[in-house]
Formats: sequence, C-alpha cells, structure tokens
Amino acid sequence: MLRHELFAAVAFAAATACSTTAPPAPERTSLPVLAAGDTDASLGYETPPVQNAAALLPSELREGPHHYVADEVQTDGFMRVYEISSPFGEYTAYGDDSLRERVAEIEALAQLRERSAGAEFGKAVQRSLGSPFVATWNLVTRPSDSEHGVPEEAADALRGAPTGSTHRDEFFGFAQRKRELAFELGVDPYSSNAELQKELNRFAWVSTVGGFGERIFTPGHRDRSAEIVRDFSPTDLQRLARVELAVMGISEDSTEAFIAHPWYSPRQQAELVGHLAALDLVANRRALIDVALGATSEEDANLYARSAELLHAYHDNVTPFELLTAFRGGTVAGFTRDGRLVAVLPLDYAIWTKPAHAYANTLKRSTLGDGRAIDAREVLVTGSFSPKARSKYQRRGITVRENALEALRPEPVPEN
Amino acid sequence: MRPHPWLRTSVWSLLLSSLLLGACSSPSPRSKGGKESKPDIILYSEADDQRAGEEAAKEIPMAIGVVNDPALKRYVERVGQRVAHQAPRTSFTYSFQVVDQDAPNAFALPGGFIFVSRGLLILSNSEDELANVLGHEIVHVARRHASARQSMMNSLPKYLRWAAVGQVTAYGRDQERESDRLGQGLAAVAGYDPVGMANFLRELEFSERLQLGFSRHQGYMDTHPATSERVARAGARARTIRWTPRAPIAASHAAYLSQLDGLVVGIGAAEGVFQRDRFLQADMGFSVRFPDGWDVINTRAAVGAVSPDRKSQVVLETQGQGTDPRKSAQEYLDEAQTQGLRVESAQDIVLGDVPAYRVEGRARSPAGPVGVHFTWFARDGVMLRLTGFSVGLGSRGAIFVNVARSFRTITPRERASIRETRLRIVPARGGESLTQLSKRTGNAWDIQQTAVTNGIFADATLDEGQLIKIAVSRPYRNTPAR
Repeated sequence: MLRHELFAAVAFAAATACSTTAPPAPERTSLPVLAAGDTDASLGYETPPVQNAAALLPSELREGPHHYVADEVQTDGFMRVYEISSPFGEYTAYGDDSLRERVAEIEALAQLRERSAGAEFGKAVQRSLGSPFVATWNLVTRPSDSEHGVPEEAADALRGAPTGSTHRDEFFGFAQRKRELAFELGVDPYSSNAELQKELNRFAWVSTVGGFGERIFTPGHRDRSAEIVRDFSPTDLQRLARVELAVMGISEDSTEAFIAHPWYSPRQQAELVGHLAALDLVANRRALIDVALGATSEEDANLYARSAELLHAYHDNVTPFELLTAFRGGTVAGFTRDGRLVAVLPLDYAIWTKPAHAYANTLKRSTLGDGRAIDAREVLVTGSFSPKARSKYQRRGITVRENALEALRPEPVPEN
Repeated sequence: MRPHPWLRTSVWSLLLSSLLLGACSSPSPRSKGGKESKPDIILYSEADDQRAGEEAAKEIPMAIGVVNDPALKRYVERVGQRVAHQAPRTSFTYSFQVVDQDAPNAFALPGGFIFVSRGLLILSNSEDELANVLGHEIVHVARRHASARQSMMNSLPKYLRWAAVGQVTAYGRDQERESDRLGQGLAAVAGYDPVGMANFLRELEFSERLQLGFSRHQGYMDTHPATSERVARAGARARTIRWTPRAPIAASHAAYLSQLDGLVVGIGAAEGVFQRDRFLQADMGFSVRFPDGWDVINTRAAVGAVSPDRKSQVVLETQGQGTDPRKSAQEYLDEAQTQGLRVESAQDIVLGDVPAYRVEGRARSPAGPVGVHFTWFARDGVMLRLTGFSVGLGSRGAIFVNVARSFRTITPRERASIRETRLRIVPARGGESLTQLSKRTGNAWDIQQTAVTNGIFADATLDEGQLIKIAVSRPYRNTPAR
C-alpha cells in the first residue's frame, strides 16, 4: 500500500474513534482532546485538582529575587495556571513552559533596569541624542510615556512600543542588537510581554546608537532555534520557513497561511519549522502544519511548537519516525520505522476525563491501512499523568513516557 | 603550473618553508615576504563574514585560477542569482565564479563568494543539477556554517581541541546534510527540479567509483557524509518537495551543453605537462627533467618530485620578478636564516649559458636534520628557485644538481608534442553505441568515463541527434581554459 493510503487509514481510524462527542469549548486552547471536558465523577472521571507550587516547583523557580509564584496552582485537566508577582507587574503563566519563560523575562527585566541605571548607560543615552537617526526613530515608533527622566527628545527616541523589524530598523542594527540582547538574556525577542519589549527596545536602541557596548550574558539553555532567531531577521526567517516547508511538500497556500498566522511569533514559527525539518524524509509532515493552522491563541501556538519538539526529540534519541498523522482534535502522532505508534501531548498534568478517555481509545484502536502490525503504542507528554490516568492508558497497552522532553532534550550547548 | 600565478607567493613555498624552517624556531608572526601575517578573522557578525570572504576570494585566482570565459561566468552567475534570490540572509551579496580546477568541486566562502570548478561543470548534465549544487553552497553561506564551526571550535577548551576533531567533523557532516536539504529546497523554490541534486550526486558517486575503484564511504574524520547516503536522501526528498517549474536560463539541454563546450578536460597544458620525467612548460618556454623513478607533482603553484622513500623532494617555483640570482637568493636567505637555516656554501654558477646561484645548507625538521640545496636562475624576467631537500644526514646534492642542470629551453619538437584535451559536444547517430561514437569522433575518454560524464549506461543505445559529451585531444595552443 502506498504511504499516503497508510497514513490516511491511521487518520481515519483515529477520527472515527473520537467522533462521538463534541468537546466543550476550551478557554485557552483550541485543542479539544486536551480539554477537561466531562469530569463527572460518577462516570469515573477526575476533576482538575488545585496543586501547590511549593510541591511542584524547584525553589528557585518558585521564588527568586524578583518574583514569587502563588502557592495555589489551578489546573484545567492538562495545563497548570500560575500566578506570578513581580516588581514589573503581575503575570499569569499558562503552563510550566510559560512559567519558565515569564520568570526568565522578569529576570531579564531586572538586569536591563539594573544596567540602565549605571552612569555609562546615561552617557550612552546622551550620545544617542546626537544621532541623526533620532528623528528617523520618531517616525517608526508609537508614542508612549517618557522614560526614567531621560530628556524629552531622548524619550521620543526611546519610546518603547515594539516596531516589528522594518528594513530601517535592520539598517541601523537596532533589530539585530535587540535579537542578540534577547539571546544573551535567554528570552524571546518577539515575546508578547509588553514591559519586556519596551526595555529591550530601549536598551538595544542605546546600545546601537549611543554605543553602549556592554554585553549581558545569562547562562542558560541555548538551543538551535534560539540561535536561528538571533541570527535571522523576521524577513529571513520567513524565507527560511518557505524553503523548509517546500522541502516538506507543504502546499503554497498552507505555507503562506502559516507564515501569516496571527498567533505564531517568528520564534514559534522558527521552532516549529526547525523541529519538523529535522524529521528529514519523514512522510506527511503536513499533518502537523495542518493542525497547527487551527491555533487560536498564543498558547495553542506554543503547544504545536512543543509537539514538534517532542517528535524531533523522539526521532533523534529513541527511534526514527516513518510518517506522521493527525488525530481528530488537533493532536499528532508518528509511526516509527520499527512499528510503534507514538502520540505526543505537550501537557503539564493530565487527568482522566471523557476526552482523555476517547483519546486513549483512539490510540488503542488505531490501525495501519497496509495491514502492518503496530507493535507498540506510546504517548509522550511533557509533564505527567494523574495516577488514575496513567493506569487507564497502561491498561490499554499504551506506554506512558512522562517528562519526555526533559528526558530526551539534548544537553544545552555551553556558551563562551 | 602556470607562469602568472608564480609571480605571487606560492602555496608550495609556504608549505616547504613551514616544513623546513617552521620547526627550527619558535613560530614567526612574519610571513616570508616580511609582512605581518594577517590574523584569522573571528566570524562573529555578517560583516566579519563579508570581510573574511572578500579577503579569501582575492586569493582564489592565484591559488586555484579562474576560467576566463565571460559567457560561461555570466551564465553561472545568472543561475546562481536566481537561486540566491530565494535565500535567507538577504544582507549578503552573492557572486559566482568558475575555477580552473579539474576535480568536480564547489565551495563557498563566507559572505557569499561561491565557486564551481570546470570539472564539476563537465560532470553536470543540466541546469537543474547546477542550480541544486549552487543552492547547496548558498546554504553554507546563508546559514553561516563557517562561523558556526569556528564558534564550536572556540567553545572547546584548547587542550581538548585535538581530541574533538571527530566531533567537529560530525558537526560538519550535519552542515552538509542541511546544505543538501535546504539547497534542494532553494533550487525548488527558484523553479528548478530538486531531483537535480540526486542526479548530480549520483554522477559524482559514479565518478568517484571510476577514479577510486570504490564509492567513498563516510569515515570518522570525513567532513562530508558518504556520497551514496547523500544520493539516497536527495532522491527520496525530491519526490516530496513542492516546486513549480520555471523556464531555465539555458533554454534547452543543447543550450546547456553548449555552455560547457570547449572546457579544458584534466590538467590544462598551460600548467605544464610531464612527458615521463621531463616537465615541459610551453608558455614559459622551458623544460626540466626530474629524477628517474620519483613521483612527480604538478600544481598551479609549483612543480616537483618526491623520492620513492619519501625522504627527498625537489620543487621548482617562482620567486617573483628579477634578473639577479644572487640578489634574489639573499632576499630569501635573510628570512630563512632567521628561522633556522644554516648556510654551508654559496657560489655563482652557470647552467648552460644561464647565470645561476647555488646555496647548500642544513636545517632541522620534526623528522630530523635536513640537507637543503637551492638554485636560483632567471628566465624572461622571472626568478625561478629550485629547492631540493633530504631528510637525514646523507646528501642527495648530486641529484639536485642534475635537476638544475637539466633546465633548458623547450625544443620545437617538444613544443609540438604537447597536447591538451577539451570537452566537445557531438550528436549521436541513431542506434549507435558509445563505443561506436567514441571511435567515430576520436573520443579520448574510455567508455566508462564517457557514460558517467553523460549520466547514461555504458551499453546505452543512442538516439539520433542525442548530444554526447566527449573529450578530444588536440595539439596545445595557448588559449584560455575554454
């Protein structure tokens, strides 16, 4: 049987298995399979628990010099919701990954504020006032309040709203410096954190025009995606994505829709495309792009990027995939060359719910159209399962791999 | 070996200097010409890439040579620009050149300077293949692979660098795989058939097999994956890549082949040729005989021979312009003596009717003491230096003296005997075999080579008018590589 028939059969089996009940509309993600759904205890389903930050998080993540995570952690059946206090504002982080990102952003803000309070930075601000580009900068920024007692002209120049990356920004080196700065601080230069954007812009501007040459470096995880985001402008990232997606056989329409998608930041696009590209020669990678196009929130976009990362990590470190397939409900799975069906779920804490029940049955019943046996069924999650959920999957013959990304992620590359 | 490149510092002289002299003293920061050596550029930014690439690109015409064919250069440039137009890293300006190199080769310098060899063009069979190869090189530039490798090396503690060579080469292989994949993608987005990558790599694999007797397998220290692996992956990938054909720049297969017609095949006679152990340099009008039974080497920069026991070498190269052998010798020795050369004798001599200057001395090398024997003499305003050296205490001075004495003006008969092989495109007759076509056209390649170069089977039955690349040997005339 041809490959495309094969994965169609997998997809069909999956679709029929979970087509019985329409899931309730989720609040933060459009992934129905992940939604808490029916939690009726009389049917044996679990209710999303409230968890305790102290029990969940390493101490430095829970509380740092500039942040504090509230003890009470809500869950919605698959993700955790954290409330973070900081001198820079209150934040809600949806998911463990998001918590780590927000904490990194808070630390970055603290470092930027600390460095910009120094005398050298003040001199650089003064130098930047003499720049002939100040007037130009005014044309490409949106107005906002002046900053930190900086003279009015400089405030005009430093007004902090993100400007995207116009060619003019690139010309001045401002955008490049901003990306480098974000890389050094371990944050996303395209973060939706408005306060961070304002500080990154201000610091990058003074660095570029005022000649403030000090490098900031925070040791931490530096993956390949982060390097690509640092090294390429958004325009170049899009060009790279077009080529990579063409290599995967993604249609031009899907490619353009993905590139123009409102919920994917350049970094999320780069991550998703980069991880998918690493599955070189794996058939039907469009399955993930097709479902990823259904993202309706920043959180969705992040989940699809994590799905791609899970697939990549498994492909590189466990056994290679032969093809990908999408399950109804917006999740994906891969079929390996040695006969395993491997589903990926980027979630923090999964409980046993009606959608989870249907999903587990889908994994159990899925077949290959060419008659080949599925020798093993696995589900990879970035977090963990409740004891009951874990037991339910295992009773269906599905191997559960918890904290999979942590277990499979390559060691961080040391930076000089 | 060609006359003009000799007028600059040659690769051989640098190698020789490092072997003979570098080991004799602490490393010198000064180059042979007395100028401060340039520090390596750290490829931190795109501007660094551009600067490093520009500097390195300037050396290419002298170190390797470029094919002086404006039409061919224009054509390769147009294909390259079409592919590069799709590339990320829009801040780079890409340029494309054909280098005068027999081996099928392509390489990219940081900043966008891309080179393909005439050997590669001769092996290629379509614009799709060329576009995919150029795409591969463009990716090296756009992804700043040189910078990434440099960063990787620099990230390793110095004491571990020697041990991490395998890791670095493995990283290099990953870069090659990425360049194959994205190069195919770039070519496809530019409207070229991605199967061109697989086709070219297959031709390269067959060519390797023909030259080496086997396909190159990936070794631990190889920077490229095995060609067979690359062929398989590129072929599989080509079946799924989305692409929309665009009209090629060469409108037809015949138009593509016509771009290649007349390229020099093999080492050009302009480099000089060996007839047994006698070297004939028609353009400079001289001949010199190397020791019988020694392995001869002819590069663009120098010509020489190595003894069977590998303990002795003799090299002839230029040392810039000049007419006074003693003066040129002194300039060279001033530098060499600071690096450990001990001069034992020096005298004016005459080679035939040509004044010359001979110096004998000793130096140290990692292999032990080295006996060195230099002879300087001028020809048409160009100063030539013959260097012989032997590891160990035994002298082979007489051998080196004989080589120097064999130097003389080329005879008309020798000049007439020099031949050069060029690529020709010929139409086949219907039903003809490659053997029949080769016999009819005087093809200098054997059947296997002809089949590989044309991407067809050796026992193929040819169609009427089917264009076939052959090699034709003709008496040498001093014309460009095409």
